Amino acid sequence: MSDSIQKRRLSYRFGLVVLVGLAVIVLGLAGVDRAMKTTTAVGFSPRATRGYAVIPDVMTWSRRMGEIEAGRVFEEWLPDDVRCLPMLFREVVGLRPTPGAWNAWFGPRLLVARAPEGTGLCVRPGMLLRLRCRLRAIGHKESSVAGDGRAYWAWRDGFLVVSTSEAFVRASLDGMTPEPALGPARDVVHIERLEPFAATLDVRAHRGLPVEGWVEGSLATRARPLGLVECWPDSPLLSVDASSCADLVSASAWLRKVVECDPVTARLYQAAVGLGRAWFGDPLGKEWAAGQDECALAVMGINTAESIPVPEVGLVMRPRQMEPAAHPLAGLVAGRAAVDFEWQGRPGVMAPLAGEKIMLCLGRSERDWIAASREPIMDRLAAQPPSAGEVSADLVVGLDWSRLGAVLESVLVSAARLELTPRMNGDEARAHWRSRAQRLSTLGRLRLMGFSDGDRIRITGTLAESDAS
Amino acid sequence: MHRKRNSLSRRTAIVALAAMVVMCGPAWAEEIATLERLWGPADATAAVANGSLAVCVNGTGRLTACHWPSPGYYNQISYRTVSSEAPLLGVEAHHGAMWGLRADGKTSWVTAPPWTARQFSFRAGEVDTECRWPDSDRVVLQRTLVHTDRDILATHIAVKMDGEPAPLIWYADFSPCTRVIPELPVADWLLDAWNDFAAFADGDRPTIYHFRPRDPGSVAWRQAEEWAATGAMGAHASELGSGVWIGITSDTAVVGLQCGTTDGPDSAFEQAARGVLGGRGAAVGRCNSALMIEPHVEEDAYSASIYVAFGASRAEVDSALEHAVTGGFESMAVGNTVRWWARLAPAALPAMRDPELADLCRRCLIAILGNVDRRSGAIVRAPISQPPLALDWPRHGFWIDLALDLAGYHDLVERHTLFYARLLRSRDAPGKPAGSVPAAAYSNGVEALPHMALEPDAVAWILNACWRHARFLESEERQRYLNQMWDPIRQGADFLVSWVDSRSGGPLPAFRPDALRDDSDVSLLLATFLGVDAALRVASEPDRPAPAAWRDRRRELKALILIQCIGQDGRWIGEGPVPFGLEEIAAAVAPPEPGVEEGWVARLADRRGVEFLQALCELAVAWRGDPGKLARLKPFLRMELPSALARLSLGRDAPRNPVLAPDALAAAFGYITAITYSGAVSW
Repeated sequence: MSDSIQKRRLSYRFGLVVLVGLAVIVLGLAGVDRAMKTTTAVGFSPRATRGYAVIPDVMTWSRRMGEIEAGRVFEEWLPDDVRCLPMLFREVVGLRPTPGAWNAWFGPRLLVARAPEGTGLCVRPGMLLRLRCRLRAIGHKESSVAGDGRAYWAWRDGFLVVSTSEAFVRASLDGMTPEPALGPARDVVHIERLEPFAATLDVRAHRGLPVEGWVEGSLATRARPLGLVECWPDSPLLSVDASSCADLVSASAWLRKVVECDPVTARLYQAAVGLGRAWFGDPLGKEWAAGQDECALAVMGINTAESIPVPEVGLVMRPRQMEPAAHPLAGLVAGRAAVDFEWQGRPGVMAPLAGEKIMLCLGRSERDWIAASREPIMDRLAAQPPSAGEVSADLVVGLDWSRLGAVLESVLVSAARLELTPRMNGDEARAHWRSRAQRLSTLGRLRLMGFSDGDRIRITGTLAESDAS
Repeated sequence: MHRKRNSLSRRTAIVALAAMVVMCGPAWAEEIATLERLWGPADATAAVANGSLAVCVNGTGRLTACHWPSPGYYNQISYRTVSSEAPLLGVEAHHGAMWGLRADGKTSWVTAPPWTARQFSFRAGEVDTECRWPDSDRVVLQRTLVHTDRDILATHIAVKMDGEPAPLIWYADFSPCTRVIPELPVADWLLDAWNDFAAFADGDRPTIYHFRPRDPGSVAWRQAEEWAATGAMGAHASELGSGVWIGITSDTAVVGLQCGTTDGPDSAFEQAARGVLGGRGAAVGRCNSALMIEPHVEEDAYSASIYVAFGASRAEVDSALEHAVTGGFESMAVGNTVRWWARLAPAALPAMRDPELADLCRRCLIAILGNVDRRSGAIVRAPISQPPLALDWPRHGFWIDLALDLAGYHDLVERHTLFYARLLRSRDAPGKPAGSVPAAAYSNGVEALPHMALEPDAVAWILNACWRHARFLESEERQRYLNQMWDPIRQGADFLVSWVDSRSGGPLPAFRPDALRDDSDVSLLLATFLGVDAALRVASEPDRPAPAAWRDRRRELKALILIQCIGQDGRWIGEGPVPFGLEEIAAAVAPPEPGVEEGWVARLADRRGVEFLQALCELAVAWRGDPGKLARLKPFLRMELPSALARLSLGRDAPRNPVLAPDALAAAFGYITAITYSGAVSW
């Protein structure tokens, strides 16, 4: 063999060794990177965390959501403090977070938490980001907070906590590790609410945005399916169907806790309660709903013709047995100015509360007791034939996004005109809200079913039922 | 709406309305109690106002409301009560504006316990609050006034010397507001978090400015934040345009200041409480501020003054402050007194031999005149912090107009009724029939209560007010006025005549503020009769043909009143005389049995606040021209009447010493009672 051939072989072998060595190094580094990013914990958040969301695989989630119209619409409605969070990485490490590069830089998992100290996120980055932080001399010392006035960050046990609030980052260093019950699915966001009520919701990045979860509250367990789900003459804006009115109240107990958290809404709620007492007093005995088999409440629409939006409400109560007894709500109009009335040939009563837009109409249809806040609604309810559709659940909630979008557009444009949008003027607010409200209208319907599960209500359903994307 | 209801009732006509309860008038006390339950108690014992700037203070001298540019909208200060049962009504410590003393290394707010206070009024249009530290000689006198012609609030503190003079602190939680929400009067009270914009200190004589440009956008917010961070706010703030500007300064040396954010670590309240003002010159968001002042030392006391000017721009505020500081507090107080006396000079007052009653009448008139909006002529009931009394209520306006007419301020009544005429709805809309009016309005004419609250009696009181006012005018002047008002009167009367429940013949149910819902009671029937009757009387003047439907409706209503309000013995049913205005009905009623009238007087002692004042006023009006009967009211005029004037809240004891009633309706009742009792005006 000539020298040249031998040299060639040697260089080939050397190249091979180098390549193999490089591959081993790359694989090793990748393994180390993966090990760095992999952990059972989801991150850290302040001890007083009120709620958080965990995305097990940001890349998969973002890609799938990007393909779903509903996902893009909901993203627009995320609170500003949450929506701006990923962009903080640009501030901190000079990287624009994109779905494709997210996992490589920041690790697959993302924790977003909200606490009294503020809102922030936590990731467990791999080698690349740590190296970049070292090279750019970005604060990387464990358990010390760095910041530039616009963003603050700190490392703890391999996790990077970032927020616009220094207090949030500090509290996270001394904070807790949320322990969500994550399933094997990668295209899911797990949302957990801790305060003021407990609830979880897993939203899958699939067509229609299917959800599963639970919320605190109790419901009666039904032996029969719910039969009033489709009892409404038109598609109502919001409808809730349960075994009884008491169940409706119980199922919405969490809503009251939310309202009472904010001083403004709490004051308005108190005023509404006072108004309710003035309108209805407390004349109903404890057993007024005893004979009910099912109860369905609907906001048929919201009248936005004047400055104050006025909801138009309908109520249908199916008795176990229709007897020639008084209407279950008859006590509310006893001793008040009221007019006997007739709908579809069946007797009823109409009591004015506040003009023609708010009155209490009581009557019956073929099988059910009915009530409404306006006379025309009552007329339509009374004419409605008994519905055939049945749903096997203890609670069904429906929401018509198109109608909600229209109402929101009207209300938000009015709010903009009245300078009721913080830190925006009228023109900005109109531009900001109008298109969002209009796009909300494309989502079809929300439909959630609830099932009694001890002191919880198990939830399943879809957020945007007719989303065809 | 009324037509719809008519047709419905015609179709059914099965059952009549629920039984009616005879009432002598609107349940004022119940109404205030209802409002307190909804929105918290009023914390105002006195108001000083000039028709543009209206300031309320509570019994301790703390500023609890500050409306500008009208007594009827834009409360510029944060102040919210929670409950009558809560300590200090549940108000947060940093709300309002107040004086503090540095003593023993601590800041002691003179408006908070353990200081005790009593209130009086040295001069016309001035509220004086004397605060004492328990078991000591430490006495503080706070004097608060509003310039009669310029939008300047001045507050002066004098501390009786009990040691070395220490710096004084004046703290304020102003929240500049630039908007009203139609139908929901909460924008300047519940939504303080969405008001406000920025505060900064500037000027050779350190001045703190709170301001909010009109409709600030995100760019304005960002700019303000930048300017606050770089110390450039003073140089650039005016570039953001006009809006609401509030300037605060003193005429003595300022030794410390702080502009902070209410909830932040830089809060001026927290720093003032610690006695160390950080000197931060600008803040953006929900701002508060504090000034530490080197007092002026006199022989046995030390004192200081603070001037707060309001304007649409910094230039307006600076000009007003310059005027205030140059003149000084005492000069402003004397000038105010002179101007108030000049304004009250033409007013009808009790004879000089009864100076106490004359003084009471003056105070009542000052309270009313201060609440007359300079621009629109609206008259705000009470410029307090929470809704809904800082509004013009047509059914209260009748009594206020009557008081002003009796006093001789016919020009103000004319402007007021013209304001009402502009409120009348000219077109039918769901829930807002043509000829109806909002139950209450902001003083710029914007509807202030939900349109669902339809009050036909408000229309009736307006028509009645127009007719009553016309009666005070000379013939030619009266014709001019009635010609001007004829179209609105016709519209209103048409509406009242159409508001019929065809089953009972009475008015259809309508919104009752005391019950917060629609109902039907005799007060609506009586008011409707008065309204239609007034329209017919106006029409009876030449060249104003009244539709026959008006006469028919008047006859029906009169018959219903005779049926429902007169007992089988031919006497009026109800706890009082036949209401004012129903002279024709009163003529048909048998006189009360012996002892009944004494019972009415005796029951006055059980009533409180506006309810007491109304009952007292009704008796005085019913017995006008009869000195023998009027003499029965004498015991109530000296003590209970002045005390009731300051009792807006039912939850607490009112001061025994009369100051300046914050409530124009109460003041109107007070004036009508006193002037009728005195016999100074025959009407």
